[in-house]
Amino acid sequence: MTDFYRILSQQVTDNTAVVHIELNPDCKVYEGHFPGLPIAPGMCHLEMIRECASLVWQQAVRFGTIKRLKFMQPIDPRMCTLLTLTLTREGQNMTALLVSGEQDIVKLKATI
Amino acid sequence: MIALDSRQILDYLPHRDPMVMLDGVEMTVEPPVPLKGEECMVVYATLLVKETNWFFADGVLTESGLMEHMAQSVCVCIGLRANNEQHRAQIGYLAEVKNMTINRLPMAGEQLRTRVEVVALVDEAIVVSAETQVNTETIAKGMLTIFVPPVEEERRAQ
Repeated sequence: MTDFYRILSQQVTDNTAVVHIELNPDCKVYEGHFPGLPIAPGMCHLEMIRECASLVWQQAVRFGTIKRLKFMQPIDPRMCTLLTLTLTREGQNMTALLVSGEQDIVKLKATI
Repeated sequence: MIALDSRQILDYLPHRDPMVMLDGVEMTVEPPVPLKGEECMVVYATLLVKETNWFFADGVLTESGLMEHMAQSVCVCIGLRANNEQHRAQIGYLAEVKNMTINRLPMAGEQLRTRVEVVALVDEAIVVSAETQVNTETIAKGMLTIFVPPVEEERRAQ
């Protein structure tokens, strides 16, 4: 996903990774989501999670089953751009938690 | 039966390029399962997978693209339910995906056909089961919940 976000820093320890992310409010995706009312698409967050997981675990991560994916709070990229993503994995199971400050944004439980 | 082409879909969907993940919609009202007095709604939506799609990466449409396609099928379904023209292209928020099994990811040139069936309408949430096929092969199947906030005029009237 071109220009949707950039990684500021990452810490990887055993089965857990913490990635600090900055969203790009000028990303082309906001032209269509939605015109005059930019909201970060939930599925762009999921794709970002997959890309970050692939990067920190150095494998092409593909989701087999999304057991549960919850979007708690829509993000206006003009107001909020700094996010923290925590990834964990145990065998084929992974979890992801995306937060902005104290606010949970996305929670994921999936198999890869 | 209602059928919409890629241009007509935009009357029922707030999304615009590069985020439009549908190119055709058909709606039928399928018996029997009545929902609180409403007839069961089933929507079929299509998408021809292209390399230029926002969610196309590494030779396939990603899981996220597949689910965005499913979610937008629900948005059109919500738009078709709205009897007021002004409320047709209402913004809905995907709240949850549950038990979504992805058997494989579609390649460029493949035609997706997605069946969305409304299984529950709870307050402002619409729960659907969605299944995407390529030809007759099921490539993904699961449940989605979309939250549709009330529109401003309705809020004021309450």
